[in-house]
Amino acid sequence: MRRPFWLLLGIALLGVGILGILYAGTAQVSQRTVWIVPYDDQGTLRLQPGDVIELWTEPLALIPDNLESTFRASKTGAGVELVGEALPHKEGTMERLFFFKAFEPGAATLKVELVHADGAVRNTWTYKVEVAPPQPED
Amino acid sequence: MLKAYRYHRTTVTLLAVLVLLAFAAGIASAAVLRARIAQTAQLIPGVPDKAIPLPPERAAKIKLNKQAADLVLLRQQYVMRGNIPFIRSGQQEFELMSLEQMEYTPTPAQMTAAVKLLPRYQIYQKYIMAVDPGSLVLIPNVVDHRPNQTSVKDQNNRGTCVCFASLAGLEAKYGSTTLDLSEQYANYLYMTAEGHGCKSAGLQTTNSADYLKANGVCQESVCPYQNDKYNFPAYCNNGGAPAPAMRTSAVGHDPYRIKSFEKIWRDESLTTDIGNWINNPRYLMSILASGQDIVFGTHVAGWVSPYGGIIDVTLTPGGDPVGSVGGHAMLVVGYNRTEEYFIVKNSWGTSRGHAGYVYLSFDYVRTYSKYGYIITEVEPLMMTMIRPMLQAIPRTLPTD
Repeated sequence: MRRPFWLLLGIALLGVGILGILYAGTAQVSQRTVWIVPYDDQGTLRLQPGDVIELWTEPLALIPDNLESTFRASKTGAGVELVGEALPHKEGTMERLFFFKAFEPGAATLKVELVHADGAVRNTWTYKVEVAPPQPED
Repeated sequence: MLKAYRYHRTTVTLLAVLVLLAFAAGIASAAVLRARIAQTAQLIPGVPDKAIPLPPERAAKIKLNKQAADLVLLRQQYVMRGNIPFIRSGQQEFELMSLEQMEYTPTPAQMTAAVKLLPRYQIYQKYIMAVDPGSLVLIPNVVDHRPNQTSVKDQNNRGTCVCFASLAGLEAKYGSTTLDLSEQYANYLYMTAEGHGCKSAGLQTTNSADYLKANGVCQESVCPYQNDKYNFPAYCNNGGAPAPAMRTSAVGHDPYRIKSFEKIWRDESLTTDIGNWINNPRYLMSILASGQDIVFGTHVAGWVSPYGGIIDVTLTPGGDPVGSVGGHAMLVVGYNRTEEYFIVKNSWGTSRGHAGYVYLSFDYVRTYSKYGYIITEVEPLMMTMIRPMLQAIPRTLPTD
């Protein structure tokens, strides 16, 4: 009669083991929130440390008049850093994607500029960002 | 309790071992995953160092880059959306590696080569030196389909190159040099399918093949092109769609469509001109020699106005190809094997390039081509005219 008790206990322990696998497998790669931001976004972006902003530039047409121009991104303030730049997989535009990552609490202003080859700035877009302290985990 | 343990000692010990093994496996798999992410992250240079321990033999050659681990996660999101992002660092561009690509442990040199978006110019130079000229004898020295093309058009200030390239291919496939199909209507079809309303937001060139198979286009006279992208009063005053009257008119005259096509993709690992890939000039030459044109998506890099001569790969002082400014679609209509360039129909008017055509060197196509497609068959015009009439015939007799 005692055998089912030990069997149940064994199954329970095995269950704990499986949960351990799941936890160990997921805990090492923490989830990130990615904010996809269109170029005409006007709101203030409120982030947590670890969040990533994917900022899309204006879909400037790829035509001879524009070939001398490029997009560039920068930031002032604290909390976020520019970590990368990418091209979308499509034809017809000179669109760029800029990646900013929130590292620590702070406030920053992101700036994207369309710059001509002679250095003249053709257009500027700015975005306000606030990085809040990390929320305590449950 | 102790008595019970003694009684079931074997069972309990076995279970305890199983639990320990399960924990160990979980921790080990997580460690492997983390190591792979770290390894991938190290491949993208250009970001300040963060402390990730590296084996000494690799630490000397590869800069550390912990922040890029997050970009690996970003990549996964892109792949889920059908895109692979390119990361630009200075003058160089890189494609983010997937975790699957890192199943093996390549040498530092292999890793450096593998992450680059653009093929190494130097590698191709080696190959060109080694190619056997006898293997190309079946391909004519020069193929030029320009006499079979419709006139060169001008997309003006809109990002509608895919419309012009795809319809140039369709016009040529219908075998007419006078047929003039509506890029305005094609843009409406493409942007609607892509969820962009009536804008000119660009699209992946190969998608246009699917859209032109699903929907026909009308002639230019029915739906003329609007040069100013912000001026759509006649076509986009209905939530992004053409005005009802115009749309009805166009739909009644849109029999021009693709019946079948073949897409051509890029092989990043290609180091010799082998296989049915867009970055294999030999394959493209064989297509053109068979009488087909190629709707072609490519990076634009190092182009100098007015785009005459042969546009070739421009190298940075570091020896890498210059970065792309964006994607462009055109129609490849011929080649010159002796001088190693392709003849490509552009949509920037006749005053640029060679009367509207540009010559792209073989190396440029190896380095910057992205993808393309061949229109293998078009819908016969009679069938598209008859089909609406057939559909209008009542299927059942009216009852008394």
